Amino acid sequence: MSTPSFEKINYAFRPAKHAQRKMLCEALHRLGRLASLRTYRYVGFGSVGFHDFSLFHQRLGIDDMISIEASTRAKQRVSFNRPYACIRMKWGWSYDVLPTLSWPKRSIVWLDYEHSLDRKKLADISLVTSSLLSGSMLVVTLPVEPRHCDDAARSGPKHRLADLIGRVGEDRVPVEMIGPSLSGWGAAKVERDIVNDEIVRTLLDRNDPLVSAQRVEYQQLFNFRYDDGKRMMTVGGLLANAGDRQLLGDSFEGLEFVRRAKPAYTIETPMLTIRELRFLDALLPTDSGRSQPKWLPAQDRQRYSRLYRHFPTFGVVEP
Amino acid sequence: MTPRTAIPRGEPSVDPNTINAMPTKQLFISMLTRDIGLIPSIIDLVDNAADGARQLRADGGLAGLWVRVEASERSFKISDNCGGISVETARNYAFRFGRAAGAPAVRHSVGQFGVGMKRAIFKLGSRCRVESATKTSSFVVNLDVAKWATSKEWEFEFSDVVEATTIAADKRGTRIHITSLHADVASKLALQSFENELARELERRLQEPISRGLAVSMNGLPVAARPLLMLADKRLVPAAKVLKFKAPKQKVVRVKLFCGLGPSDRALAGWHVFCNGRLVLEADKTIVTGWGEKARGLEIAGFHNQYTHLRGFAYFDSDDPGLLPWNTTKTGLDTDSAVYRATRLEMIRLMQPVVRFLNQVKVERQDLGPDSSGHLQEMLAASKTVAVDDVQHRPVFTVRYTPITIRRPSVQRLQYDVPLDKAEQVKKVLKVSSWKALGERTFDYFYDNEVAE
Repeated sequence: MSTPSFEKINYAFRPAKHAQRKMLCEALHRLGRLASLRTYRYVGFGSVGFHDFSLFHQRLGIDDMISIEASTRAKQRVSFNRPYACIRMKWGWSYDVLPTLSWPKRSIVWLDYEHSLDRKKLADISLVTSSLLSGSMLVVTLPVEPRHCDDAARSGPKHRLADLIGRVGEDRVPVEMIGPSLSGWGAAKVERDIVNDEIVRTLLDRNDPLVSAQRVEYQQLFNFRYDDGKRMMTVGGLLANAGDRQLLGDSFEGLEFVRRAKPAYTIETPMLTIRELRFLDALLPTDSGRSQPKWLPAQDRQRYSRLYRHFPTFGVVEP
Repeated sequence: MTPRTAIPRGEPSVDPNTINAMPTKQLFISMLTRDIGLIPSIIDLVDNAADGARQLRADGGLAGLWVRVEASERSFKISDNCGGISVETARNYAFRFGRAAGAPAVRHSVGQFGVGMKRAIFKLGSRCRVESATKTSSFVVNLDVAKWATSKEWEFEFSDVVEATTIAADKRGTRIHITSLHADVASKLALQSFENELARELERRLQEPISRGLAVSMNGLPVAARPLLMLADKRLVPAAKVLKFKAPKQKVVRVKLFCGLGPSDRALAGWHVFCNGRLVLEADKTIVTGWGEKARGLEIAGFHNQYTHLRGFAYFDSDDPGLLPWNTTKTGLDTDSAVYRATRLEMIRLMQPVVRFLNQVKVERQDLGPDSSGHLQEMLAASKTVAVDDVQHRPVFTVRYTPITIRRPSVQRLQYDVPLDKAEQVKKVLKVSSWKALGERTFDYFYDNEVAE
């Protein structure tokens, strides 16, 4: 078994991921127009940090929480780190655990994968899409780093395409796709479409025999990209019938990070000191940049202006 | 006399602006018979009889009703006492090609497309006599297919019709006698193996009416219903789910799904799909029921021997058989059907935990070797077989057990190549007969001398 990623990366110190989590939380809060968030269930992959679980329990009041954890090797450690008693652990890979869950209430499901998209993950996405009640939210996070390989012959653009086809199957890859299109954020672009297609296709099957009022449609709300040392993307959105969509109305309008189509919202984190951050905070949100000191790099100032509400502050706490 | 129906005739058009698009009868005959096998076409005739039985006894048992099939190289006969076809139905519907609007509906019937009887006649032979009697009418139709094919009219003629009469209960029923069998059909019907095959198919396909009491016989021998079995145990509980589909102004389609384990049997493993009690798909392990890499569902490479315990049963039922996802030959599913596509998502979901369990059993078997049986294998062996209808179930396939950690010394298998002649020499010196023993002895020798303190 491969080493769990939490033994390699401390997720608490990934600023873009942290910001994304807070943005998601802000959007999820808007589901409150349908029903109290306390009536929701949260299903995620808590790992050892349980950052998403803590945030959603604290901010949204959700206390029906399920964390799926494949690393049975670290069972005791993961259990020890469980921050709240309301988090139920389900041990096993997501594709083994998800089919055993029942879906009796509106849910927020965040499939926060640490490995690349493949058929098994698409099966998870399809299963969850076919199960979620109207008013639920599905979010999928995937690494989209072009694969590196020691063998130079297997690292080229041609190999990237073969690798993608191997993972998701030929039918899911556009025929016009060529290897070089998968470099940079190219893989994120294609894989967002593949995930979207899986959700839409599953809903076609689910909805076809239903009358229009019962039909659950998917509305993409999130299409994030960020790079905390590893290129990642997050796609997802709302699954809701006409009645729920009407109740929600324009709930998600005005959230600057909401993306309803292919163009992504890229979370770019500034490289600033804590003193600089606090200084800029005092000028935001209205400051247009004119009063900001010119010795601070413009790019970092702009990035911070976009992100400041969600940006974390990390400090060293000496015992 | 033969009533005239409203079907247009195939006469040459006199209007120069009109193009003749009348189908030829030959096209009908060849098209209808091409896509169906001999056995399914015979089963269509039995289905018709069973539908008659269902009509007579809507919700009760079918005891006392029978269907007799007699097949030889000279002729094919099917007779039943299932109520008969009325002259009115024969005149307007039973001999039409395709189900006409307004045709009397049989609740929960299997007959749907209005082709079964004609198709079976064309498939089997070129002469046929259909006799039928109901409580108040009776008729006889003699059909010469070759002659009919060359005539312009899309009509058949009654040889005898009696209406407004009273017929004794024991005289009611239908009898179809097909002669001048096609050469290939005659040679097949002469085979004992064909008789066996047909009897087995009847057992499988007509389980529902047979288990309700309909007596079906094949050349004088009764055909029994074979109950569908699942393994059940307090610790291994099959999954079941009921779905209901209802479109506006349409009848309801109810779907009952069961998924779990059965006795290990490759021929029976997979999904069994029934429409109104009729087995349409048997032990399916293909993309149709979610298997295989391209299935966009159960993401396993396909069926392997470790899944011979898997059983899935899907029962689609509706008072309007037109809403069910079967194809016209009732030998497969209409995979584009909306009801089926939505159901398939559930089938895949129910199957996944079973597949997972069987994967674990395989791992256990590999870990422990062929001589010992692990906890999961013992649970499988201790389970009882129960008829599907009687099985206790839960929404998800459930395995209740506490895994027992087997503390074994951790071992590492070693494998390497050496020149054969040297290996033979060492074998001789060590006086061992297997390569395994040679490997162990040489390793022990090195360990004892160079490693152990």
